This record gives sequence, C-alpha cells and structure tokens, in this order.
Amino acid sequence: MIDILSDHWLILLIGQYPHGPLGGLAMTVIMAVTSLALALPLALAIAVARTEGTPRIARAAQIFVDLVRAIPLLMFVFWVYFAAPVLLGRPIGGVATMIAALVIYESSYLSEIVRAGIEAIPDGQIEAARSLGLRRWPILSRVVLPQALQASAPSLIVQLNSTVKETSLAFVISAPELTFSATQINAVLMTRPLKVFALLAAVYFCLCGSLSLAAGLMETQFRRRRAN
Amino acid sequence: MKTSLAIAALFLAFLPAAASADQLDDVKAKGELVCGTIGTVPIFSFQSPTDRQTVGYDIDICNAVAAQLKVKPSLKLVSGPARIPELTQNRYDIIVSTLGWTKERAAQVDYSDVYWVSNQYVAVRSDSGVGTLAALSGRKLSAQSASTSALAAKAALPDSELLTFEDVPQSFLAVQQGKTVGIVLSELMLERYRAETAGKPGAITILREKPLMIEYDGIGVRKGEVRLLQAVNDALHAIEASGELDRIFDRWLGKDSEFKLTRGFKVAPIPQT
Amino acid sequence: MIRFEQVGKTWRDGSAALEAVDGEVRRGEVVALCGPSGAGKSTLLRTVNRLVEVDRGRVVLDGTDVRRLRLDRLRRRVGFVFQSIDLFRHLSAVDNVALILRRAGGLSRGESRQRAELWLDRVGMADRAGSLPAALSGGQQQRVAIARAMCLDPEVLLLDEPTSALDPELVTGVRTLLRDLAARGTTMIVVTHEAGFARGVADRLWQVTNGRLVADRPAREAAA
Repeated sequence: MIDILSDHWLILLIGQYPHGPLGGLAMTVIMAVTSLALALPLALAIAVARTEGTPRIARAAQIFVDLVRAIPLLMFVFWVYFAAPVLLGRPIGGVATMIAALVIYESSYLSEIVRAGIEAIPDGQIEAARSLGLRRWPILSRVVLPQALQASAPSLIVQLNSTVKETSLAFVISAPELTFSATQINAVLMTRPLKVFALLAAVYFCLCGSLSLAAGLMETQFRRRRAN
Repeated sequence: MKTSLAIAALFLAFLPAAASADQLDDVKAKGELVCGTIGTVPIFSFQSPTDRQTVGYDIDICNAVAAQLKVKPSLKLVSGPARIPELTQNRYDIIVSTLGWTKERAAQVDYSDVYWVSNQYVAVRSDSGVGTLAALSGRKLSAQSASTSALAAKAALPDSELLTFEDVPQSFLAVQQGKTVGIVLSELMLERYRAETAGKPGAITILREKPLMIEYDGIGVRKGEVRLLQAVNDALHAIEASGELDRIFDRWLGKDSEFKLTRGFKVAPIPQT
Repeated sequence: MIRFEQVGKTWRDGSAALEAVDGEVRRGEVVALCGPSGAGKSTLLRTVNRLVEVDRGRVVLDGTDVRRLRLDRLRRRVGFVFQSIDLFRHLSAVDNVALILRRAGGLSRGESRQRAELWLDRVGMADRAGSLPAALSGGQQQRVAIARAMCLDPEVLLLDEPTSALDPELVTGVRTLLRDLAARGTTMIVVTHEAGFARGVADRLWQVTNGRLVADRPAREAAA
C-alpha cells in the first residue's frame, strides 16, 4: 500500500492537474467546502421561513425540505447533471453539477439543524428583545440567528464531514475528485482494487477524522467561553 | 446504485437533445475536437502514473483524428453509463471510448468504421474446476456495468447470473474473492490479467471454447451529424493508409507492447448484426 | 403619566386576569405592585408595553392610549426588566446594551458603544463590560439588564420581580441601583413581594388581589 501511495500520491492529492482538471483530495475539499458555504445562507432562509414565516411560506419550505430529503442524493446528482443543461440551455460541468446538487441537498439538511437551533432559544430571549423595542428583522438577525448558529456549530462541522463523504458520488458523473482518482489508479494497477480502496478509505478517514477533532475542539472552546 | 442508474436513464429518455448547427462546422470554428473518454480503462484510456496525463489507444486515435481535421484534440472524462447521454447533450463532439457496437446503442448514436475489434471471453479461476461454457449455467459471472461485456454475457450465457461492477478492476476482484466464478471481458484484458496472476493463488484460465461476442469498436457520433461522421471516417482511413494506425496499434497492442498482437482488422463499416 | 382606566383582561380559557383596574402613576413616582402570586401583578405590568393586550378599558401613556402607539416606539419609551434576566446569551455585557442603542435607538456603531459603556459604568459594571452573561453572577446580570432597559432613556421603567431570582447577598446591589434611579426621578412600576424593598424604594404600594386593585396607599403608611 505504501508503494501505491508513493507512486500515485500526486493524483490522489490534485488529480491530473496541471495536465488536466484539478481533482483528487483538493477537489473533494473544494467541493465540500464550497457547497456547504453556499448551502448555509440558503439553509438559514429555509429555517427562518419554517419558524417565522406565514403558514403558507412555512408549508412551502417544509415541502421543499421533505421532498429533497426523500430523494437519494445519487438520483439528485444525475437529475441535475442531465436536466440542468436542458433548463439552462447549455451544458454545465461535473464539478458545478455536483456543487449545485450538494447545495440543494445540504441546504435542506442544514435547515433542520438551524431550525433546531432556533427552536432551542428560550422564549425569554425573544420576549426581552421585543420588550426592548427591537423590530422583527433585528430580532432575527441579531438575536435569534447568531444564537442558533452558535448552538449548531458542532453539528454543522459534522455535516461538513458527511458532505465530504457525499462528494464521492461525483465520480459517477466523472467529476475528478478523490474517489475518481482512486478509480484511475485502479485502472493502471488493474489487479489491486482492494488495496487502492483501502488507501482511499484511509485518506477519507484522516480527512473526516480531523474534521471531527475540530468539531470537538470547537465545542470545548465554546463551553469554556461561556463559562469565563 | 443500479436502480438509480436505471431511473436516471429513464429521465434521459424524456430529455430533448440539444439542438445545434452542423457539428463539423462547430468543431472547425472552435478549432477543437472534444473526445469523450472513460479514463479508467487500462490500455485504452487511463492515467499515466508518471505524468498523470490521460493516455492509451483511444487517446492516440482521438489525437490522430483531430490532426486529420486540423483541429486541437481535447479530452473530457465521462463514466461508462453516461457516455451516450452526454454525447446527445452535446457535452463533447465524439465518443472515443471502447464503444462496442450494439443494436441498442446504434439506435442512439451513429458509429464510425471499426478502429478496434475485440473478442469477449469468459475467464474463470483456475482452481474453480469449471472448464466449459456449459458448466457456467446457474453460476455467477461478473462484468463492468453498462459494458459490452455485460451485454455479451446476458446474450450468450442467459443461464448464468450476472453481477455488474463499477469498473473492470472491481469486476476482477469479485472473481478473486470468489463472489463470482468468472469474469466476462475482452480477450486483451483477460490476457493481461492472466499474465499478472499466473503462478499466484487466484490465477485464471480463459475459456477459449468460443468468444461470447466479437465486439466491433467504433467512434460514436451524434445521430444525424452526417458530415462529422464522414469526416471521422475519412480521418480513420487516412491514418490507416499513412501507416499511423499501425504505429498506434503497435505501441499499445502490437509488437511494442506486452501483447504482441497483430492487427487483424481493417478500418471498414461495422457488420450490422 | 400612566393611567389605567377600567383595565380588564380575560385569558383564552375564560379565567379573568384583571378586572376593572383603575389607577394612576405620576411622573417621577415609584409604584410597587404587591400581592399574592397569580393575583395579576405581572399581567398588569405587561399591559403597559403591550406584551399583554387589554380586553376592556385602556392604558394611557402621557395622554395617549398605548394601543394607538407604534409598538416599537412604545417599547422604546417603556423599559422592561424581567424576573428571569434574559440577557442575550451570545453577546457580552456591553454588546447587550449597544445592540439596543444601535438597532432600536438608531445610533451609530461608535456612539452605541460609547453610551453602552457609560451605562455599564452607571450600574457599576464597567469592569465586566467584555464578559458574556454566563460568566456573570445573577446580580451582575440583572444590573446589565437594567442598563439595557434604561439606555434609551425610557419615560417609564417596568420591573417584574427584579430581585426574586437572585441570591439574598446579591439583592443589595440591585436595590441600591434602583434607589439611585428613583432618586434621579425615574418613573417606575415594580412588581415585588418583598416588603422591605417596597418600603425602601417605592412611593406608593398597590395591593393587587384576584385581578383587582384593592388598595393604593403611600409606602411609608404601609410600613407603619
């Protein structure tokens, strides 16, 4: 396994770049971080629509969330990949497709996390804000959302973790990420897929493990800050 | 996974193909021929471990055709099941990706003349005791999903149970682990695997009784692009006449390769059977 | 200043919370609402800034029915301090005050900060300005909450049992602060069941029982 790594580490790290598109671990991280960063504002909007919106808006947001969560991500990726060009009138690349699919998918999952964060805020916080003359929007943006986000920060990291793993589905649309790199190495070595995939698992483990560690640290930090 | 692919395929059936002007004019205008290729097929389209470029027989063919059209070649990697839908959606100009001729595929894309012929055989683990195709009845076989090998197995060995995998190495692993008794694959790849595993546990034997299917590979062109198809065929004939096809063949499959094959086919229309 | 005219409130379950309450709080006066729990003291207090809307009668602030004032404007004129001390948990002491100055008072960022620091100084919390609420004692939190309620210079300060959630040894600081505010002429209505507190700070005691205002007398007289 060490010999596979020493021969192929570069393709695992950055894919075919610069002789081809950037890929490998680098693309996995880029896709996960970008899609989560784009999904978060969307998730906030959905969560707010569900908790603060008029009944009709709340219902629409809930239907969106339920719908997205009922579809397997793989289906979703395929659907975006082949339907988006028809809707947009021009083809979009594998990476853009994967990010778009993940943004929609993650926003619905993240919105549930944020919603839980919002609902966990004691009523007193909002009653206090109202009685102090704050209007609806400042209450939401300065009192409710910051607290909801702070409370859900560790869960958000966990979600980043699962997003990293979900990017591996991108290889079905040949977006050049980590799993695709492993498939390419497989094609060169031919007879050692078991070792290649073990190596792949080890890389994912290190990446996700360090994210979990970060989440743990963040939680500790958070508690300490509250206590000081 | 497979169900999802099937559902995705269902979706695709209802999608209109992107309309465009004449593809050949488009190619010339942008000065670039974009070839769709799988990128994970040993020998034909894979990553060179030294410089991480996509290389192989298919890639050299793509380059040679582009040179004949006097445009720059460019590659787009694609998964096996998405090869044809992506062509229909105009994501690239031609498929150069060991696309074996089948009636179903020919209904969706136009095929150029033959640029590679391969025989599909079954190989079994040497210690399995299976020696004939008849003995495979009721046993499990593996093949890459959405490949000609898979189609060949279903057609020629309907009594065997077929398990398909994401790529060839995984299909082969299934044999090694005893998940399946044998693998359906092109003769060439089977030779490579036979050589790699010879003398080791898990060595394989190719059942040479008869090929399951003779696969004619052509370049895939979007339906109705008559001028582009003609240009691709002209290019293939030109590189055959100039001796370039021989050089490409020898490099990957012939005397300069580990296989030492001789080119037993001519660039000619695919027999439509 | 504040006049209750035949104020009545019935909960959805049909039980009466307030019944025909009449009374007036004059400018600069401190009124303590006393009575058994459940008598309607907190409800009466909440009708002033419309956390509770009255069903009958009206509450008049400076000659205007509170229902005719825009809610956010009304609430800027009427400060409110809760028993449960709901400081915004994610903001430091100074930011708790500055947020209100900036978002409800419309001051600039710099000015909000400056005036917030000034207010923390007034309530004796200048040295803990950067601390999060969780790091403060209950008494300290309540002093910040009072600064937060006072920072927009409301005409009236309403306090709902401001010391009942505090340990006895922390009560003194808050009581001193309220006495200071009273001495400076702040109009206050305080719900309390502490006789000592009522005597020490209030000008008048209102006795509330079963949703009715049953007695209104000078605090000193009540002490006697």
